[in-house]
Parts: sequence; structure tokens; C-alpha cells
Amino acid sequence: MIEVKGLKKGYDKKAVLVDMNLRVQSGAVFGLVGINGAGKSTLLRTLAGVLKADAGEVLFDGEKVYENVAVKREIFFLPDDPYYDTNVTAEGLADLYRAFYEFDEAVFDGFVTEFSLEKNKPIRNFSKGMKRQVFVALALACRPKYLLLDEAFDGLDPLARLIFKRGLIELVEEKGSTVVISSHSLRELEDICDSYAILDGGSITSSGDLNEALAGVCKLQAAFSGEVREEDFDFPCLLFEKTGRVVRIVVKGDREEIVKKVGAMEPIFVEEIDVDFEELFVSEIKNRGYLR
Amino acid sequence: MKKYLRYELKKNRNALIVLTVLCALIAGVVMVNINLFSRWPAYTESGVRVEGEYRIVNGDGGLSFFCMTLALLCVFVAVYQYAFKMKKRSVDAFYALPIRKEKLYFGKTLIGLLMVFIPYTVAYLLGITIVLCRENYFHLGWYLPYYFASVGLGVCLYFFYAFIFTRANTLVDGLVFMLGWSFLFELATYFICGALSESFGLSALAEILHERGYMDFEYMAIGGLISVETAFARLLASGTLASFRPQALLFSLLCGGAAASLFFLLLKKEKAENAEQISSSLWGYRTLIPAYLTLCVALTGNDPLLNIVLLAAGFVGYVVYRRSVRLKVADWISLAASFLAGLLLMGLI
Repeated sequence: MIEVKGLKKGYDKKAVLVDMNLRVQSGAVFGLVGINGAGKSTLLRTLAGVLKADAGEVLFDGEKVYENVAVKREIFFLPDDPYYDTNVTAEGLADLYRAFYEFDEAVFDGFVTEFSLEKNKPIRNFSKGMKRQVFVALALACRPKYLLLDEAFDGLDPLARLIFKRGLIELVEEKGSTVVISSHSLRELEDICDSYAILDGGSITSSGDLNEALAGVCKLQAAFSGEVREEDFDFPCLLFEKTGRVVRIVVKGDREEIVKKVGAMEPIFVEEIDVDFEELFVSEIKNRGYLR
Repeated sequence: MKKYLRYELKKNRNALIVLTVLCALIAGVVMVNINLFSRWPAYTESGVRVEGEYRIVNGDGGLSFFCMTLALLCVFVAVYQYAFKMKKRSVDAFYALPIRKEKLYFGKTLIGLLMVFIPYTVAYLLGITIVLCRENYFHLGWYLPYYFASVGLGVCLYFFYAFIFTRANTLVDGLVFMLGWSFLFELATYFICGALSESFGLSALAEILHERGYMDFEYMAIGGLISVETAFARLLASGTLASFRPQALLFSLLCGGAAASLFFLLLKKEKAENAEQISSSLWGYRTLIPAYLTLCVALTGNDPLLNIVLLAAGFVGYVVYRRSVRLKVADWISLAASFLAGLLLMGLI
């Protein structure tokens, strides 16, 4: 289990993470979302033991991570812009991780084949997506107990995303690994994450079980004979969109009660639509005053 | 640790081969072409030319070339090995690995020293072999102890530059720091010697610090290597050493020892987030700019035009430091205080 207790981290005088508390259960696939500059990368770098917390602590199974080799051996951190030497090949990069992890050659070779990568060609000649594929293969081949992924799907094509997601699920099922993923591809996260946290201004504004969170929000589409404004609803809308006389609203609260209230406004029709993670995120962010 | 060292060795193998071949090639060309000795007309004690006879004057046997090769290798490899800490991407990669920083840097240092001394040793052996194959009048036995002395001083030089370079957060800052610290002690001791003899009547003490009344290399990190090279060149040429000033050697050993200790001691304070940021270490601009400004103003005398140039140079130094023309109040205060200190100290020499 990963526990973050009262974590503070700043650069110079600028606070990036402010008194952050978080708990990620073992075996979870945890989605970390937030707008740019929310502190996702800083949190992941601190979780990986790259950065030292200014205050508070980061614990993996009760052990502090910073400068703790035994704990770090269980963690693989894949940053948003991973490092490679100018002339290094995928095989050369694998050498680095072979020196530190129980590297599974079969898994590595399997992903290299699936992604159609050439192991002995310099990575610098690869496209952005191919470079990402190399690091995905390396991350999964290290079979870590904790996998920390920053902007995990960035640059990957739909097929590569599918292979990657399958690889992650296999890792979790096989090894009981815990995966923390930050990404702006919320639809991808929704596919594989069972829990989530939304970061804003250096702290967690919302977190928990993803399905429960989605169940706690309902999205309705209704058409009215007359003009309807957001103020006409006697409950707060997380999201309000209007196209002509058709209105789409996302609302937090008891589903039946909300449907009843909308029904009382005598719409021409009203239907319930599934809410996805992206809508949940956007509505949360809107609530924080970022979108108007 | 063993696996990591094997990885580092494998990763740097090609660079090591290139460096070795390059050094060997240059050594080969230089040692084939340098004058190992020169012939001068022989004279009797009464000053009469002895027809058909010549006296042999030996050169330095290539020692100055080896000395410079070693110094360049120390600087280049130190930059090559530790440049990773100046990029956020590589810091993320290396600091996330399950290895303590001390071991990570120890591994890089060990491989760095191999990258200095393997090319140096190969070049040295090739150079001596060429000397042996050519007509020479050296006391060849001195080549061996010089090698070991130069290796010891090379280690000191490597640590000095490794420590100074790693105080910076960007490559350019690191190079500036290396350059700055190379000459600062020499400049400072030159000023101190001037003050000792001019203002305090302690010429004897000044003489101990500096042999002559002008700047040379004694208080540069490379000074020990140069002074030992000069001494061994004399031994190689004549078999005797009339005199030897140990100041440069002691200074280099002190610098190397202090740098090696601080290099590992300060690793605990190393912060990953500093990569690519402004280099605000006390070992960098914050000390170098005021120190140079004070010493330069104090040494160059009361020339208004020169003083303005020096102040402008100090300002440029802070602009480079801050990467902005908007300096902080502290920078302006430091500039003014250093300039005034220089004017005050000017009276001492």
C-alpha cells in the first residue's frame, strides 16, 4: 500500500504539493488526474524517491521511500519524458534496468515484438510513440510491485495503448502490482483504473473508487419547449450545456430525486446518459472555478 | 553494485576506446616529432670552442605533453561523467533507481577515473616506447616514478574539477565554475604576497608563498602536476634536482583531498529538483563574482576606466548567474560591496 501523509513539496519558495494525504491500496490501478501544473509529476517524482519531501512522508508498505534501496527496488518510475543516451538502443537501455531489477527477458522480448520495435537500433531515430513503446516494454519487463507512470499514454497510438493496457492488467493480475498512472487521456484511465484522485493546487480535491464516484453523478439530457437557463434548476449543476432547447446537465446527488426534479420542469423528453471519467473530471474542475 | 559498475563500464566502453585511441595517436605523433635533445657547440672552461664536439641539452622527454594530456582528460571526463545531474530527465532516471546516491556517484567516479587513466597510461607507455626507440640521453629510470606521481596528482585534479563542476546546475555554469576556481587561488595569493611585502614588510613570508614576484601556477589545482612534471623533467634530463618548491604540490594535494571529501559529504544535500535551475551554490557565482571583482579592482590600481570595465564585468557575471538583466537587490549590494572592498584593499599593495 502507498501512503502519503501530510506531504509538502515546493521549488524555491513556490509550494507545489500542499499538505497532501493519499492512500493507494495494494493491487489498485490508480488514476491521477489534474490540470497542467496541478502537481502530478511532482507527486510521482516524490513517490519514486527522486525528490525529497519538504515535510510529511511517503510510505510504501509502511517504509519510507527516499534513499531506501530496498523499497525502490520494488518501484519502477516512468517519467513523462524519459531519459536515454544519444546512441543508446533499446537493448542498451535494458542493460541499465537489468542491473537493478529482476528483469523478465521474455516479457521484454514479447513487447518488443508486439510493438514491432528494433532492439538494436538507436532510440534517437525512433518516433515519439516508438520511444514510449520502448519504455513501456522496459517498465513492464521489470515486473515491479509498484509501477509509477507519468503521462502514461502520451504519444502511443490506439493499438499500442491497447497492448499497454493489457500488459498493465496482466502485471496486476500476475504479480498483484499497484499501478499509479497520471494521464490526460481520461478515457484510457477509465478503462483500467479502479480508483482515482484529482489534484488541484497541490492537494487532492477528490479521490476514491472510480465506479462509486461515477455512480454518484448523473447526466441527464432533456428537451424543453421553452428557454431554460442553469438558474432554472433548483439544484447545483456540475456541468450545464445547452444546444437550442436541448440541455445536458451533470449533477451530483441522488439520481431518482434529480430525475424527479427535472421531470417537474415539464420537459418534452428527458433521458439519462452514462457519465464518463472525463465528464466527472471536467465537472470537478469547473466546480473549482477553472472553466466557465 | 557490481552489476551497476558492469553496466557503467559497458555503457562507457566506446567512449573509453575513442579516448584511448585518440590519446595514443596524439602521443605517438607528438613523441615521434618532439626534440628529445639539442646539440650545442662545446666550449672549454676558458671559453674556447672545441671543434667537432657538442654538448647535449636534453628536452623534457615529453613530460609536459603528458602533464597537459592528463589535465585535459581530468577536466573532460569530469564533465562527461557528471553532466547527467544537470538534466531533469537523466536525474529522474538515475535517482529513481534502487541505488544510494553515494554508490551511484562512487560508480561514476570509479569509471571516470578509469576513463582518465587508461587513455593516459596507454599514451604514456606508447610515448616512452617511442623515446626508447629514438636516440636519447635521458636518465630513463625517472619515467616510472613520474608516472605514479602524476597518477596521484591526476586523481586530486579529477576530484577538484568533479567537485567544482557538480556544484552547478547546468553544464555552462559548471564550466564557468571550473574556469573560475582554476585561477582564483593564484590571484588571491598573488594579492596576499603583494600586501605582505608592500604593506607589512613581510617579504620573506611573501617569498615563501610565491617564489617570484609574479603570477604563475603554484596555487592552481593543476600546479602540483606542473611542478612535479618540471622536477621530473630535470631529473630525466640531468639525473639531479637542484631545488624543489613543495608549495604547489601541497596545494594540489590539499585541494584534491578537500574536494574528494566534500564531493561525497555534500551528496546528502544534493537535490534532484535543482537540475537545470539557477546555480546558486556558494561554490559558484555567489563567491566567484565578488572574489574576482574585489581582487581585480585591488590589483589593477586606481584607473577609473578599468574600474568601470571591471564593474561592468561583474554585472555581466550576475546576468549570467541570474539568466536575466533584472538583478536582485542582494546582487547589487554584492557588486557594490566587492567594488568598495577592492578599492580599500588597493591601498595594501
